Amino acid sequence: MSVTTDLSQLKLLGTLTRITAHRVLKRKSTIVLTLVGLLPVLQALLWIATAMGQVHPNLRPFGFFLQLVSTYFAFLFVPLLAIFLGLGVISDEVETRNITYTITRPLSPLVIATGRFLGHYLIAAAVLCVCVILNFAAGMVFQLEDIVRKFPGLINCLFFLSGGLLAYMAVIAALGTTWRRFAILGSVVWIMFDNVFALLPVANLNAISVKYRMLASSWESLPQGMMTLAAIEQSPAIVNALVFVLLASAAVSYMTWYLKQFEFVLSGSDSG
Amino acid sequence: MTKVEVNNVSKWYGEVSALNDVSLSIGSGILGLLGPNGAGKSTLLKLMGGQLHPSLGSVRVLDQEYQGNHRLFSRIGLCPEQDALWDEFTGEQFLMGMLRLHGWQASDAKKRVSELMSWFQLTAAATKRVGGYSKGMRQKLRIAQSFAHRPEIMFLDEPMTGLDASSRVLVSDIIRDLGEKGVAIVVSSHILHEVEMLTKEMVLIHQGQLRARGNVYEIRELLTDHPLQLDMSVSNSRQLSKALLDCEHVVSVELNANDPSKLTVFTRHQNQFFEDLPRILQSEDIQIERLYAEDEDMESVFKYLVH
Repeated sequence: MSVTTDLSQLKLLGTLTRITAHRVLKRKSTIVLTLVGLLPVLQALLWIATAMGQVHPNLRPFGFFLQLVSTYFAFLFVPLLAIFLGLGVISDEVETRNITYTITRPLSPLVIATGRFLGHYLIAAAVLCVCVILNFAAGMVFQLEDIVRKFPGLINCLFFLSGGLLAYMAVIAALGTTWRRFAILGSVVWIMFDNVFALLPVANLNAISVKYRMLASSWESLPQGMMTLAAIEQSPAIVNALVFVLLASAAVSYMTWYLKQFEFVLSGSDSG
Repeated sequence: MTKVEVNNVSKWYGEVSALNDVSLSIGSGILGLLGPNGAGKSTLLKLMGGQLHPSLGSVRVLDQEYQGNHRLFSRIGLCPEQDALWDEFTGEQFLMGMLRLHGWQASDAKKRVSELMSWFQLTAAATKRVGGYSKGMRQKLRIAQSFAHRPEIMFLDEPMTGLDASSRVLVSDIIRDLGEKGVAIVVSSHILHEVEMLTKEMVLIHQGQLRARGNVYEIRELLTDHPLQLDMSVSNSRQLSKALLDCEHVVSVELNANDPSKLTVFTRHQNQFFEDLPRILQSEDIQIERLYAEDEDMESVFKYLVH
């Protein structure tokens, strides 16, 4: 059987991204994370059930959805997704030694880092979008007019939450590449600092906070749901998106550099 | 034709030396890499497989170096020792993924996967998750992925680990078949009979150094410090022992107290012994019933070399 092979790195990047995304999708942790993202939907469904089919006077309007976006998604769910999936990019793969099957294929380190990051990010972003959309729909199920009217607002939310997820995942993936054992702790500490930087009225700290940039990209003023010293000033979403993309590029460059130096035997015992 | 060239390679992990000035060239066919745990086999295999860089010296594979040359991986196959696999995938999806990452078209890859699954008797489990595979099935899948893309060189680290007797025969047949087709295969193991099932050509490694290379019998010949022990049953053991002791290469002869027909001969040169023996038997008119080299097997050779 004669076989034609194509070693074009761009094509192999697409293949690696697809395979990685497929693997991430099949993990139990992805399903669990999706359920966590859908928890607020249960609350809405409960309210609907108790309203016995009537339009409940307290049924959540768009404002409540924005609060959910700000407190639940931006504060908790996006960082959670970023930690679980960001560490899978290189760190978990090295720990399980599965990296062997990627580094011994005809793939350049840049393709490996980019493909693995993209594969993880695509699934994380898909999970995030599904959860946000279902929460939006569940919360406004009896306000169909609002659903249509507020649809652009939903798109805006999806845009900046996905952007924030990109930035968080990039930094966590890079952190995990270097400090595998302390990656979870390191990521939690960094996210805490990031949140504090978003709250303080110091422009320079705000500028380096992913959360601040996320919330600043919202068209509508977002309720922070906790004590905040800084007034979040809107900034152009495209600028924030560029910052997030730059952060992701820097992280992928770092992972590429790391893979070039990489000798996986150093990460564990060698039997012979 | 030389396919792998290891030139004066040393490898250190911090201050620990794993390999010390190793030189080796490998052509087509199967080569056994033998040594006890911690001898440096896996390190040498990883150096040859492009997963490690030498601290000193160079490794050339198919006349190329690995550094910055990721395309070279399309021509080599590697079966790692550790029990890592993509557990989320089915066996079929895993092999498909491996082939796709080697640039294979989906249709070709699909045919190849079905062929491999059949060879390794995994067809029934092809659509089951790898995470649910037994140890033996996982090992077979690891070996299957190492040559799925038809490499020119394969590095197999302890390939028989976890396989039951029938699977060992199956895998040995597949590896031998590949060797006969001209693929260069390096098989590492610390268990001698595993390698013996595949090849008589071997390299012995101990404490990071190559101790010997060649056919097991040739290596045995080199061991002049450990005389070869031969047990014999003959018609006249006393007469034969007297004649043998006149030979320079015979170190000693022991007669068996319980059975006068039996004797044990210790010789430094196996070839010389087998040249002299027929002449002596003929001249002394002695009949031979049985001749057995007690320590000619790999186990003994290995024991002598590493202790």
